[in-house]
Amino acid sequence: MSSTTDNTTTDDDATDPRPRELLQATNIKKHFPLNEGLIDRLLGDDRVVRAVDGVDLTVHAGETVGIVGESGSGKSTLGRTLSRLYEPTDGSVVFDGQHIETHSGRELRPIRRRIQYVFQDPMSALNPRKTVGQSVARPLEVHDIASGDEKWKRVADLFEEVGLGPSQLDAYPHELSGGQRQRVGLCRALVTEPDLVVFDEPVSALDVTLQAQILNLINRLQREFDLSYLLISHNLNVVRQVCDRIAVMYAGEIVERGATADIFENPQHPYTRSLLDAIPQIDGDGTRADRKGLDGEPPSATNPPSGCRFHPRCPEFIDGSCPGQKPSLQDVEGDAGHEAACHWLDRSEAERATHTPPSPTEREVIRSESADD
Amino acid sequence: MSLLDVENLRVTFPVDDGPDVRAVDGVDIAVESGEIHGLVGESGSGKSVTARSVMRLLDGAVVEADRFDYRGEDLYAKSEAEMRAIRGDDIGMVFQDSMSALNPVMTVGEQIAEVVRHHGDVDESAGLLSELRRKFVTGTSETAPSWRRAVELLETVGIADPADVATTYPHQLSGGQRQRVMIAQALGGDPSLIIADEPTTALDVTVEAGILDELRRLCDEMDVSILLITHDLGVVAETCDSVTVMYSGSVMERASTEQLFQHPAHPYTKGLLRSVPEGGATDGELTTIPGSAPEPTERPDGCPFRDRCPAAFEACADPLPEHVVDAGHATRCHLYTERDDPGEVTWDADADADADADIGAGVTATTDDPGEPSPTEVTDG
Amino acid sequence: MGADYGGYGSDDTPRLFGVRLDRFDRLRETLAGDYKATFGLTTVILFVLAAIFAPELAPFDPMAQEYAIMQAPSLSSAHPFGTDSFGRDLLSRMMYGARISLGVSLVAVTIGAVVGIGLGLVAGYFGGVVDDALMRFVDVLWAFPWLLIAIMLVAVFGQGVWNVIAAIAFAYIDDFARLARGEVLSIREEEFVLAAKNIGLSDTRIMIEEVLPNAVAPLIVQFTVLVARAMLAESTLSFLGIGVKPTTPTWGALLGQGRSLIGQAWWISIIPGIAIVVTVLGINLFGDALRDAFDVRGEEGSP
Repeated sequence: MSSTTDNTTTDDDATDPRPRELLQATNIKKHFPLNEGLIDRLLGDDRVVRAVDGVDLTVHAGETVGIVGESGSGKSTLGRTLSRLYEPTDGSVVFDGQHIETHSGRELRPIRRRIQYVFQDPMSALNPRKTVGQSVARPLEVHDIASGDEKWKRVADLFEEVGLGPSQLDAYPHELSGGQRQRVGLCRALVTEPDLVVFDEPVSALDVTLQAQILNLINRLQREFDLSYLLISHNLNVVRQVCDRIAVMYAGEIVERGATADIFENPQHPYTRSLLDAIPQIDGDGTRADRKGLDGEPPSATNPPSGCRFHPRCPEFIDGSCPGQKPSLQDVEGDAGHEAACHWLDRSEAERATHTPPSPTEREVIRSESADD
Repeated sequence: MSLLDVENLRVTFPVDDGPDVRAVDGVDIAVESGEIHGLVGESGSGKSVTARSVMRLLDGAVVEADRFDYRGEDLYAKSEAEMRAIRGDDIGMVFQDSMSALNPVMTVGEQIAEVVRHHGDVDESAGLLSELRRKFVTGTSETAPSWRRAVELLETVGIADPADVATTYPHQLSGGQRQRVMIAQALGGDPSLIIADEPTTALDVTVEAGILDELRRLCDEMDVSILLITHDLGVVAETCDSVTVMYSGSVMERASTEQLFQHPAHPYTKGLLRSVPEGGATDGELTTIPGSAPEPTERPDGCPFRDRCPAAFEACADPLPEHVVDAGHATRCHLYTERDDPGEVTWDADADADADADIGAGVTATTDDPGEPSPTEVTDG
Repeated sequence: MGADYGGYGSDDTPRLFGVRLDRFDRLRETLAGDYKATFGLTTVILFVLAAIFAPELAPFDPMAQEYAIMQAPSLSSAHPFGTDSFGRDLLSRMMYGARISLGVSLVAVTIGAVVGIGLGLVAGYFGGVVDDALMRFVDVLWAFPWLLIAIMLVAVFGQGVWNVIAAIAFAYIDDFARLARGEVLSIREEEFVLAAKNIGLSDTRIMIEEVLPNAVAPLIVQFTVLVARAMLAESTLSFLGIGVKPTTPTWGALLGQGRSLIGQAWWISIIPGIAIVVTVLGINLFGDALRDAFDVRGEEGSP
């Protein structure tokens, strides 16, 4: 993933020609005003929720990029901003060569055919008063792709493709099971033959066996229709199953990214490590593994911590530089395309392995000292 | 003697115009003292209904059982008044959605103190007038024993600054904190058994780890048994001592955690374990169980899993047998009536293909009659 | 959106106007199972039939005066409801009166609904300044006492049906506007609205196709409630003499005409009064039943 703005190719795969960059987002920010009232804002209450606060991201044609984070990380907002369901507060989004960050509704129309979004909860993402056939056929009508019998044929074919029967065209959402509804959601996203599909927690609302089915389906559809994916999830196992590359988000920023294998085998950022540690494991010998959670809660989005936003909870807190200076994404030695934003990357591995983090009270002292700087 | 001993539980929900819904169809479940017992199942398995039946919280349902003993006493023989004394006192419950389970207009401390007064061991009046006074006028005094106990409980469940947190309202707390508050509230009456219905499903994984640790500690140190309902096998692996696996209203397998994960006996359990993405499998397809669970009204005779089971044969239409695999490990599968180990159960490559997912593996499309309702995913049967 | 789904969809199910017959089951069930709903539906049907077919059904000309049988009590000879002080048959007058009452109420409430829902829909959907502006406008409308408006209209234009309609419609715009806006505020947060935006639907289309159908349930009930109230309103105006032209037999006018004769010829006021009560009640119950039947999600579902 290149984060430079001059579009030069970087380290990834020097031998093969790089697949083209389908979506390139630079310094994306999305802020929501905390107070919607006009008068209050005029009177000075201009606090904002910094849902996404400076993210660079690139999706190449044919690949699957995963965005991982927990609640409050901003990953859903990022997905919606990139697919232009929201307009970014700042930053640029280049889709297939075009800047779309400031496009109006009308200008976005042709883009909407090509970037599609699959919502997390299929029940609430389908209009309860329309049959699922109508919901899936609507995009074809809106974009004048097909009409009449041709339109219905496409819908019915797609239904069959994902494992639904054509007899379900006139069913209402509440008459279908959760798995079926999610398949409908997939159909609606694919019916316009898009280039990029953004998935927002596509399997979180489903049972485990259904999750597996849908993930397999998603994989297969990608191969068959030559799609690129942006997959947002809090579930690392899901992301591991589907994604080529992963970006880990915390408090509105990307704290680490790289190839899936690199992230799982060589996580550098303390948050990523905590996240991986926290995943419940079904160990081979069935014993109870010691899981470490994270203390504290996600930071305030209106008033994030100074410096590195993870420092209050970081199990590898170093010293004053953590609250004092925000670390930027740096390359990780030895892994192509692997970056992490942590001050530990400036120090030695040995030092890191033997470091004992200060206690919470000690951190308080350090923090107030660095604030004085 | 088991703490909770349920035999042949059947729960039926009468439906106005249509066949009655048999949510639980002959379930045995036992929780021993001092253990965490996991009840695992997917949507529609009947696990939540089973849990609620212990608290007798199923209005309008017909509950029958050969035995429903708690501490050796028949729970269903008790009057409503006796049940009220047990609920919250000896059996506590922790729900999935803390935001809706907690009263939004009472402080957290207030809610726990209330439970303590009603069910705990404090010498404080819990009569109607004094409660009204507290609710509308004064609140619970901070020197009152119930309040102090509430703060103690908050500390026990791992909340930092418990005295301060006790004065906050639920919406001011994070999800993880609210869940801990619920656990504290469940502990208010010094229960011997806590029923936790998907307590961590709505939480981030880093927070979940803490909550599960907490539950584990409660069980080990405070001698509280826990019936943990979940769909997450990872949670089971990490937290539970023994497990019951349910599918579409029936028990499929029952074992200690170790036995279940190392030597799963039932084809459903095996399929479930293989569907979970874990460890290595990155490139390949996830093996999955094609099809979906049947509606309660459309269950086949005999084993409910037989339409999706690759090893199904004619005997599967007969009522489920019980076969003991090992000490404390039983399974209900006809494969075991012939031999002790039926060997590998595989779904063939074709059946793995998601294209057949809803109409495949011998399942006739149940979709021709979309008038049939389907259970929602989160609140499962 | 072709209801035939291009030949796909389950064709073997019986259909009516392209809509599966079993969709009507809910409506049928609601009405059949609920005696209140049946009562409501029956009342409404009778009322509508009487209104439409008044010329055919009325035994007498409502304007025909027969001095010979002035103030004949009800159930006397050929006059089941008696006659008024001009010898006019009350039953016939009531049937013709039903037309006007029905017509006035329906038209007035429809106008109020169209304007009000339109305002509320736009205000709720766009929010912000648009919402503020439109809602302040609605507040102004609401602040005007409708009776005053009615009097003003009569003073300027004289008595007549259209003045009554205008005054009543005016009074109900804010009801619909606020109700619609409230519904829209919660619906627009639903994900399927965002999904519609994702498909590329324009705001107008989203409002009409996605939001409005989901907002309809309470609006239907409100509609029926207000039709009933409109009938009462029209009755009030006619009773007070500032409604329709004096000889027109609306139920309210009939009520008013019999006012001074309550002692001697009670039927002239009481019978129309009872009719008003029964009809209003029936319409309300019918509205409830409609709302229940429209609820697509229903309360079915496994526990």
